[in-house]
Amino acid sequence: MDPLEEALRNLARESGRALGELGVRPADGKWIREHAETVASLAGKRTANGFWRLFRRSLKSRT
Amino acid sequence: MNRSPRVLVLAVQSPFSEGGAERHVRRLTEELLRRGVEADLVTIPLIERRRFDLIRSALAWRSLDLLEIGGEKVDAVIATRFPSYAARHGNKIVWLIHQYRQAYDQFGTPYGDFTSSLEDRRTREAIGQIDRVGLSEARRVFANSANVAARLRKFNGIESEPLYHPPPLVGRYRGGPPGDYALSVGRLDAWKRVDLPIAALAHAPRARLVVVGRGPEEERLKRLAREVGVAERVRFAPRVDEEELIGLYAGARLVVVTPADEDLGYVPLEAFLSGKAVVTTDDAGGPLEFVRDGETGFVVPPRAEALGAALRLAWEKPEALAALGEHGRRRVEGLSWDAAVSALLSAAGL
Repeated sequence: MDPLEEALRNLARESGRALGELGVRPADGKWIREHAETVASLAGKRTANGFWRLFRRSLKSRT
Repeated sequence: MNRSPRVLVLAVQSPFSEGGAERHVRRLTEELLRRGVEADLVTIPLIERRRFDLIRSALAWRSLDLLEIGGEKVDAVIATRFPSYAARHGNKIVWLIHQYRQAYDQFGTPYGDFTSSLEDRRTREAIGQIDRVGLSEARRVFANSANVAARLRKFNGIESEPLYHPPPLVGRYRGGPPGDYALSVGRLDAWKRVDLPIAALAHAPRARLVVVGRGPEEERLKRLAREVGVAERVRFAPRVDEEELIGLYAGARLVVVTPADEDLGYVPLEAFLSGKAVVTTDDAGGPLEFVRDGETGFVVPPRAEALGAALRLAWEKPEALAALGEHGRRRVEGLSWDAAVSALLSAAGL
């Protein structure tokens, strides 16, 4: 895997866990998408689907 | 420890704005440095454009690794405002200036804009969670005033200890003979209710008012002064430097403080250190920890007529004001940075 891609996937996981700790839940779809898009934009990606799934899983594992 | 302790003060930045909180954290950092602590200020802006920005601001703090900087350990962090206390550190002290009040005591009032929408409800819940997580991790929680401590107990069930500090220009305030104006100092926000002393002038025909500060309410307040026919007795001073402010306090007849549930408020402290009596309202919050009716000033209901009656008295019987101001000065002259810094460092085991 591309090192940047891997770093961003880690960031999505870590920030997902932190946001879960700070009260964000898997049902907060709008917030999750927005955050996933921010992470995806660091990789110059147009879609955030991969990050969205990762991120949502991280929230689930926290809650 | 062979080296100076290293402490970071964590502060929330409000870009393009400077208020009591900004001055407080800068001064705290300076006072730590003055006592040999290697201190620095870390700031992150609080973005409030959309609800999720509030949570992302907390995430920004949560994501910081502040255990070590430049290869050396950071011995403690002192967090101050929401959401800086979301930062993680094993030796975190909180000196709470205030929480995100719109989610708590200002909810459902004209001063808060959260609605009952799902997103607003979820945001308030998340803010509650951020506070629980960030504050419960702290080794010790201090509050800026008993009022802030009471809110924290009421809304979050978290105990904290009030820790007071002197106002920004301590050591420079001076007394002076009573002038012909009441003084109002503070940002012109709706919740500061500067409309009250302006409207009160209609009930105190001899009184004059100087309003120091600027903010979104400025034009409305000027219009109000014209509408109630007191414009020629109100002087607006949007920008004054420190010397001018000290001079305005020294020359005031008394000082009016009319916020709705202020956290602490420097203005009564500055007034007392200038030997001036204070008139405030019975819902002012923090100021009531220092202003006692008939002892250091007047406490009246938040109505223009009641404030006007106090101003009338100040103009008709000015001889009592000096004694009230002197009692006030004695009440606050013991506030010192030594005590505040010592309490913070001791809580951090430094």
